[in-house]
Amino acid sequence: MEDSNLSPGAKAARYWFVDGIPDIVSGVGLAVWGLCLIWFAEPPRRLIALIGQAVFLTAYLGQRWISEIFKSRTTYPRTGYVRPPAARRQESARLITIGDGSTLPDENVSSFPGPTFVVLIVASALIAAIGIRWAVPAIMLGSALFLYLTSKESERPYDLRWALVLPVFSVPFVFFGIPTQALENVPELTGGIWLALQGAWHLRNYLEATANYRHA
Amino acid sequence: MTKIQNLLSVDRVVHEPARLMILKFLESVGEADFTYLQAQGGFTQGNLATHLTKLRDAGYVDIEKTYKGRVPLSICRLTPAGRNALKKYVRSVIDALGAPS
Repeated sequence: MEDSNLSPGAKAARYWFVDGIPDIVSGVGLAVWGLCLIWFAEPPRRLIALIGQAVFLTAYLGQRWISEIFKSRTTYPRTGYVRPPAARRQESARLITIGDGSTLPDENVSSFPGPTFVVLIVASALIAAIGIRWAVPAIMLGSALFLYLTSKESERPYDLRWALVLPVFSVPFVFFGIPTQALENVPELTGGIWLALQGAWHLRNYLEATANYRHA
Repeated sequence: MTKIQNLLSVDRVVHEPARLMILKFLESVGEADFTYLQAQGGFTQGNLATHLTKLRDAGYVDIEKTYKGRVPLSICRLTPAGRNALKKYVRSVIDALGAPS
């Protein structure tokens, strides 16, 4: 995965995702939200939905802080600490100003997981608009391919094999007897589980690769 | 003094390749600890410590001994003086040699 042509800033941004912890934090938040919305859709229970939303917002807004707690026990003692990537907003503004998207500035920045959440929420809206059970895997396949293609050059690229797992996760929901109005929340649940599993996979690989670390 | 002769007056603390690399790293990433810099730059422990000491003595790098959780870390940051020195060095080299085509 290590690309020697990457600038130090881009390398540092990728390093934030090397252990899968940010994926796990975001994924768990999203999955809990989706689960609350699906399981308690019929009859509607506002309190549970609000709790799910609170968990999601905490994971989204506090992603850096929560990830750092875990990283300080696993990643920093093994392969060192570098400042977590800042939000990409400032950089986009500059790219628009200078009109050159071909060469990204050498900065430690990231926009993850915002775009992933947006894609899953759009998928959710599409499923709600179409309202057909079989549309769920098709929309999830489209979302997965979109995520794969748009993240290719980013600091957190999705692997094609992992991207293709996302629609497979949604297939059981076609057969489950969940209410049709709850189907629209399948992207949040499956997307969350998908992200968390990827994170767990990366964490396992990272721990294996750094098994013989020395204490700093 | 001709433009090319300006190279004689570049900051020798910055001019050393390993220190230049450390300054460039820190400029790009914001802050990093000793272990990360060592891995990214391919330094030995002693080599990195020597260069960091020189940069700290020149006032270009700030080294903070702190904890993240229970792990002790030596976090290195570029100081404003270090940022200016790096900028000045790059400008001097470009002025003397010309911008890369």
